[in-house]
Amino acid sequence: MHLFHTSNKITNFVPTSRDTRKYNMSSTAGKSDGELLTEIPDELKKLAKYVMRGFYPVEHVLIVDLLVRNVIMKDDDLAELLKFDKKQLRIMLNKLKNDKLLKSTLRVETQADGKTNRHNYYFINYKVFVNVVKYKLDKMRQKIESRERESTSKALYRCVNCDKQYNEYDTGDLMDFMTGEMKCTLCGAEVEEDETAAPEKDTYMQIALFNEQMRPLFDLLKEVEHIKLSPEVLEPTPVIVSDAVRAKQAGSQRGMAGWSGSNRPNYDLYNHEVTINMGGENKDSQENKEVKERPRWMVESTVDGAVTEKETTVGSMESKQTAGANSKSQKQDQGEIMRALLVHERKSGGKPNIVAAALSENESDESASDDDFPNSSSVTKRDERMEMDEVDDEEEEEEVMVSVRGQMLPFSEVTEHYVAEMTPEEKDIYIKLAQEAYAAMHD
Amino acid sequence: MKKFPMIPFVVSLEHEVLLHPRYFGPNLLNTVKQKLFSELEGTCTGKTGFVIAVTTIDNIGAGKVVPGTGFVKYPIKYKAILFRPFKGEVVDAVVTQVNKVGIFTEVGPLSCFISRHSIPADMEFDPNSNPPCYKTKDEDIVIQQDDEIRLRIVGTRVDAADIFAIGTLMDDYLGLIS
Repeated sequence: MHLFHTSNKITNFVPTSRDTRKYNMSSTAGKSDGELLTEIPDELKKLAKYVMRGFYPVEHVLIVDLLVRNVIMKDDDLAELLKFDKKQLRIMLNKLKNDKLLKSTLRVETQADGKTNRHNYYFINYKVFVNVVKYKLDKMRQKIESRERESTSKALYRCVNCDKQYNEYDTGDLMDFMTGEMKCTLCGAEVEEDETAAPEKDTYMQIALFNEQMRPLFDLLKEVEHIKLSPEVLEPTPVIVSDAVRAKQAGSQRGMAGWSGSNRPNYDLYNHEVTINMGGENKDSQENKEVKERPRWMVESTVDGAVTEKETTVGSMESKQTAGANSKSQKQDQGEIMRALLVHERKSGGKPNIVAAALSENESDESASDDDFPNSSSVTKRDERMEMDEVDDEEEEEEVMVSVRGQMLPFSEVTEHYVAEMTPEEKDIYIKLAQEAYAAMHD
Repeated sequence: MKKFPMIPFVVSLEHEVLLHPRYFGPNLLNTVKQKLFSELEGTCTGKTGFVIAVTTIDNIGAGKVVPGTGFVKYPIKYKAILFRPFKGEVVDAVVTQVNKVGIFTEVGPLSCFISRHSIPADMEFDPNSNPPCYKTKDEDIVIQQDDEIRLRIVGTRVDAADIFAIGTLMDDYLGLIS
């Protein structure tokens, strides 16, 4: 403690560059009340540390030391750095809060995945801290003084005969100056000292001891008396250190991931940032998978799978929207698009199925093996027609005209019969139109 | 020789003197003053403490005849030296009796008792010596009857017409005045 004291004196004489501003402010400010400090001066920090070490067990000392160093911290951060059990930490923090040494603010953070976390951010309000210390020291002093006072009113003397108790004040009445003995006023028997009620020897010196031992604290209190802190310092906002602490600790914490159970949630906290990205990727990959699946699913009902896949990819490349399989170069755009498409898919029930059916049906015709799937195709055709009608009714699209052997027919009326009649070029056009329509449905 | 108490103070007070008609005459006011002195000096009340002496008489008001008795009441404003013990006060005292329970002392008109527990531990009661005394092991300090000691008043108790105090020798610079 004495070492601390001398070093403090030295720094006062030789201010370092870091302390210059604070030192000038605090020394020249002196009695002036105008200056508001935006940094916590060293004397306040020292006072906090002294007080804690003098009156609190070591765990609380550590908590306050951390909060002195980092202005404001979250209870989770404190638990990580101190390696305390969370429940124990909470008990200690509550004790410090009840003693009015710490203050806390509650902050509700919403993470990207929608979860809300409520965190208590703890900090020291130095003004309140100093007032609390002064008050408590004063209370201690009063208690010692009153105890000292009460020692005089204790019942120290007792009659041998009738057991009447007497005070020190009564000795004047009781004392018989002739004999030098105290006589009981009731029965006249001798009054003796009561051994059991004898006061402790050291109660008297306690006030002096108290003053002696508290002197460093009193000196520090005197020094910090004139310090005025700006409101931002007294009520720090929670953002300040938590990120810095996280950044600092991120590296070291990874290694400690599986170290204790209490750390694991924090590890998830750190991982969480990573998972956000991964989640995005996952979504994309899933969408890609879905995208890939659809063409396959579309393809399933055709005979010649290879051909259709190629064609679908070609079609999609040409059309600006990507309904079919995605080439890998267009993944990112397709990711967004797929998300939009999915949304629409959910909205509109089974539309892609309709168009897919139509396409598959066309493909089957084109491959000229509709004998293999006459029933299915006819069934699908009927379904398709009904569904197409529905689609038309719902969406009120303009009828796209398809040429069949020179004849212009509305797109919805093109049956397999017409498709069979189409020339290869017309078939190509028809396929393209079908794909565009399919894509357009998902805009 | 008895030393006088340390902190007497002068206060303006009022008192009513009842004068018997036998003193009505040219020397009336003088008689009133004499009566005042005799009634007040040396007395003690809880409110004023010990009245050591009346210094001046500021005013003797108009006397009023008390119906039924014939006495005349004079309200008098006067100044007097008072002595009142205060807690924490350090005074010089004279030892009147040394006992195994403690030391009885007097501070002017005030009686003060120092309990054995308020006497430093290095001073022990010696009943065998004549007169009995408290003394240190090496007999460096001996407190016996009629010695002057300095004590601190720890508490006071006020009776109807008397004040009793408790003292201590447990602080620095207290004890026998060499």
